[in-house]
Amino acid sequence: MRLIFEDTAAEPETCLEAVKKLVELDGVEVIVGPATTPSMLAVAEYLNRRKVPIIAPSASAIKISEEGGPYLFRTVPSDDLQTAALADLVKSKGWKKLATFVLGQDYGIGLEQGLKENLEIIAPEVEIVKSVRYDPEKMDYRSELQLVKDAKPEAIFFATWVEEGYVIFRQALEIGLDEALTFGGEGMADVAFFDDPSTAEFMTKTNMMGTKPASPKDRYYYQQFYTAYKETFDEEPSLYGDYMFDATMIAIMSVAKAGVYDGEKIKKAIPAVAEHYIGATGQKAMNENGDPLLAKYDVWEIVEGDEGPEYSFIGEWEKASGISWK
Amino acid sequence: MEDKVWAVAAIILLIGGAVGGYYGGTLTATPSEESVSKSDYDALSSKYEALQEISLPDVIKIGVAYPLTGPIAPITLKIIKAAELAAKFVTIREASPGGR
Repeated sequence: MRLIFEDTAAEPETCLEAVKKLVELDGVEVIVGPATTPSMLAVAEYLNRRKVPIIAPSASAIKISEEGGPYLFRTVPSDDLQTAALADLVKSKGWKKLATFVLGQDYGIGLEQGLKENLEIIAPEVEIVKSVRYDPEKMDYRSELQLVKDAKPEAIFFATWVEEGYVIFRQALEIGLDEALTFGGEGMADVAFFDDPSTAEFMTKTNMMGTKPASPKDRYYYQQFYTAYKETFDEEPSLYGDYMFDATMIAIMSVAKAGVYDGEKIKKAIPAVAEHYIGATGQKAMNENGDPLLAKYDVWEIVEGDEGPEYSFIGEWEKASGISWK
Repeated sequence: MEDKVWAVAAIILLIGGAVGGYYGGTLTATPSEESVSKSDYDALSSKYEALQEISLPDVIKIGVAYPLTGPIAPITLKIIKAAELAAKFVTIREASPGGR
C-alpha cells in the first residue's frame, strides 16, 4: 500500500493540477484531501467526470454539499452544523448587535450566511449592524475595521486564517477595536495565532469564543489515535489531524471493501464503510451528500494561562441538545 | 483465485482492530459509540480480525492532495502526518501461495 503525496499549495488551480497528476500519471483511484473549500470545488467537476472519489478532512463549507457532486465525501462536518452551533452561542450569550468580518471566499461567506440564517430562526431579535467580506490579497483592513467599530457591535464574528488574521487583529488593536467581544469558528481555534503578540493580545482582550468540531477525547477510539500519534511523532495532533486519520482509514477500507482498485466501485463502498466505522472523530455515517450525519462541536474561549493565552474548552454543542456548558 | 491479479490478504488492524470500530459489515447492527465498552470492543475486534481475509487488489494507492508548501503549510504538514499514521495502522499480509 502506498500513500502518494501531491502538493496543492492551498491554491485551487494548483490543487486541480495535483489531482490530475495523481489520477493520470500515478493511476490513483481514491484521494484524501484537499485542505480548503475552494480547492475542493475546483476539483469536483474533474473527479466526478473521471469517477474518482475524494474524502476531505478539513474543507467544511456548506457549498460543497450543494455543488460537490457524488464523488465528494467528507469526514469533517459541513458548516451548516457549525453555524447552528454558533447561533446557539450568540443566543446563549444574549448578544443583540453583531458585526461579521469574514474571508470573502466560500468558507467565510458560507459561515456568515449560515450564521445569519440560523439567527433568523432562533434569535430574530439579533441585529447584524455591519458585515464585511475581506479580500485576502489586500492585507490592509483598517478602513473596513473602522466601519465595524463605528457600528458599535456588542460582538464581532471573525472567520479568517492565521496569515491574514495576524494583520487583521494587529490593525484592529491599532484602531481600538477591542471593546467589543469576538467569536469565530474552528479556523480561529489555532494556537498559531498566539505566535504574534499583537494578535494574541487582541484575541485575549476581546475574550474570543467560538466553536470547533469536537473529537471524542474521552472515548477509546480517540485515545488510541492520540496515543499512537504522540508516540510516533512526539507531538500533539493538530487541528484536523484526527479527521485526516479517519479520511485515510475510510479510503483504505473502502478499497478493501470494493475488492478491486476502481474509483467507481470504491465510491460505492465509501458510504457502506463509513456507516460502520467509528473513528478518532466518532461515528462517520454519511448523509446523501457524503457529509457526516452526526457532529459535536466544542465551545471554547481564550483565557490567559500561566504561559500565555490558551484555548479553554467550556462547553459542547449537539444539534439535538444545543450547548451543554461545562 | 487468480494469484497474479489478486492477493488473498488479510488486513491486520494493529491497535485493537482499528482505531475505529469498523466491523466489516458482518454485524446486523452498528454498535453505537456510547454502547461499546473496551471489553466489548476487544471481543468484537477478535471476531473482526478473523473475518478479514478478503480479496484485495495487488496495489492500493491512496492519493493525498494537501498543501505541502504555501502559507498554511506549517499547519497542514502536521495534519498529513495523521495520514501516514493511518497507513501504519494497516498492514497487508499476503496469504500463503494459492490462497486460503
